[in-house]
Amino acid sequence: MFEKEIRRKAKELLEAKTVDLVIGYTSGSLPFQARPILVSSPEDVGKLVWNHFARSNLARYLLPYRDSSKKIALLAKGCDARAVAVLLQEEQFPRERIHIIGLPCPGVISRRKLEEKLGEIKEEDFSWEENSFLFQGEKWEVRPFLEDTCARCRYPNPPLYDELIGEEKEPWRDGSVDYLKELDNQSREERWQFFAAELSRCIRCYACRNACPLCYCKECFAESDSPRWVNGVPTLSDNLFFHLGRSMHLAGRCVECGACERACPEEIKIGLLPLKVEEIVRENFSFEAGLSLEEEAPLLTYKESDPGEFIK
Amino acid sequence: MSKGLVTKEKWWKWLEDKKDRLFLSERAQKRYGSWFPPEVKVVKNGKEILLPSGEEMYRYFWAGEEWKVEEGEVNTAPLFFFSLPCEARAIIEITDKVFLHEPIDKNYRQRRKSLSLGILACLQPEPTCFCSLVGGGPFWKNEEALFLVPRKEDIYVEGEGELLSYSEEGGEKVKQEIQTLQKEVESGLPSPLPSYFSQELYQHFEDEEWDDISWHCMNCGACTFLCPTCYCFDLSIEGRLKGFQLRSWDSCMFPKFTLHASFHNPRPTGKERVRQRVMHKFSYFPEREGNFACVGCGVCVEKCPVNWDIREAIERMVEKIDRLRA
Repeated sequence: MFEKEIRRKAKELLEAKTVDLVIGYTSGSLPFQARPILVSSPEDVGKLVWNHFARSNLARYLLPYRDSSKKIALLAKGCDARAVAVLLQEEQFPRERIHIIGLPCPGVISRRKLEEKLGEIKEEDFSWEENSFLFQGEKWEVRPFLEDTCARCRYPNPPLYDELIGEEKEPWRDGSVDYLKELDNQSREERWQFFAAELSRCIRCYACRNACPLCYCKECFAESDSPRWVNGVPTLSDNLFFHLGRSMHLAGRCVECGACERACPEEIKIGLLPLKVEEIVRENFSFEAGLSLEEEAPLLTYKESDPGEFIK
Repeated sequence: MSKGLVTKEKWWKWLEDKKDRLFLSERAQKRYGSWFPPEVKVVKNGKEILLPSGEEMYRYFWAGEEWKVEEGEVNTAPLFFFSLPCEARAIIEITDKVFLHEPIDKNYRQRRKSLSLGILACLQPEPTCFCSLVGGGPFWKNEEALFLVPRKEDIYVEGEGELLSYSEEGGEKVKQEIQTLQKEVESGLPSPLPSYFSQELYQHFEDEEWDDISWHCMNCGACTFLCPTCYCFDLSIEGRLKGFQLRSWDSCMFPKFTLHASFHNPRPTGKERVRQRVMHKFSYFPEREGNFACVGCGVCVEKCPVNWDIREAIERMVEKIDRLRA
């Protein structure tokens, strides 16, 4: 899956000093994991991997370098590149400091779904392709094993890149999975039951927030002392307040990558809240975040000619 | 201490009057759920019982002329907690040492006094487990707790108390079977960390390895909140003229954990915070109390969203220390 090309490109960029650092994925300590890695020397590019287990949104790993002058190359799936675009639009980085190596994304596979369908699994029993895999010699389609967050993806291809490795892909989303529709069709009471059950399991570890490339407030409202919005105890009401607050703060900014949901150690369907907010933004403003650097972000733009009376 | 075999039938009889006071750890439930009634309360680990994520230490109000203070109430009904050896060890060798040594934490002590522990032998260590590395083992036991090995039709039991009166002498054959089983389970597990590790680790506080070790950690609190030994908490006053003092879980992974009133932060980045987590568990605590503050249950490894693996940090520092000693 283009691993060789990725390594070659990373080496080239580091050797030519086009960039100081490359952020990508490497093999983890557990099977079916690809974890983020920082590569700063051309000798280390062999550590880079690219597979179906690249769960993190790497744009998040740019944030600690905001105040440095480092030039950084980032391996970017569709969603990572969209997040970079939002960061650039929000003037967190100058464009010339980020070199985007775009990777059309084959979708992240859920280890849990593999285990549910295939039983006990070992890495060596698999041989992977972009759209299918062989398990003990038997061929399977990738689609049913995708993470929910990836089965609903609209943009597997990076809308913004300095170069693209691999071929552009069709989105997996085919209308067969529409989590929002399912929720929209429920009664308010049923929806409340659903979210109450999900959010009462939240331990408020903030993995969702910390995995999010666009949650970069220096002090999160959830940790503010004055005013103090929530305390440290993960009660349902404070959990709900935190997740609703986070979703609203991401309105018109969220790139629907689902990194929050994939990061949740309790497997809470936490991506659904920002997803719904983005649907509303789409309907009202015909806008999707991170698709271009030029298009104005409706909720971050003030205009005296705004037709909405309340905002003037 | 006695040993014996308890038949399934007698086990259920013993449980009968305890149904509403039974707690079982999530991980023990996965392996031994069928040995417990549906009423059993499943908890992540012992922390949920002994150190709840939120607790009112006292309530107060301004009574016109003076402050009135009422202490929080603690449940003292006898409870039973069954867990894997690592999870029991987290209580006996770590949190007990913190909260029952001077200054004694009254709430913890009250809860602990009414809690009886049952240790269920671990017959299937998982790929994330490393109890043997940190001084534990799948058959780790302690004199204060019941030790149980559930088998097909009966449970092998060691300990004291009522359950033992339900047991029958197993004889030499059972003793052999249990020993064989233990050998089987323990074979191939890593050997314990060297005794000099905790002391020498601190000598490497300033090493540049920590940059690399900590780089991909996102500094969320999943590992610390799900850890059976992480006990750090925050205290806050909730209310003004009337309110309560709240104790809630805190995490050394969070920047605010060490933020001073002056806004200076001695642990300003992820590197210092990750190093603190490793140092506390593998250097500071063992230097003070004689054992690591990690029981090797591997929950942090399993649940980490970015596969940050504490075993790798430890291995790397062990290698370095041994290289320098050679």
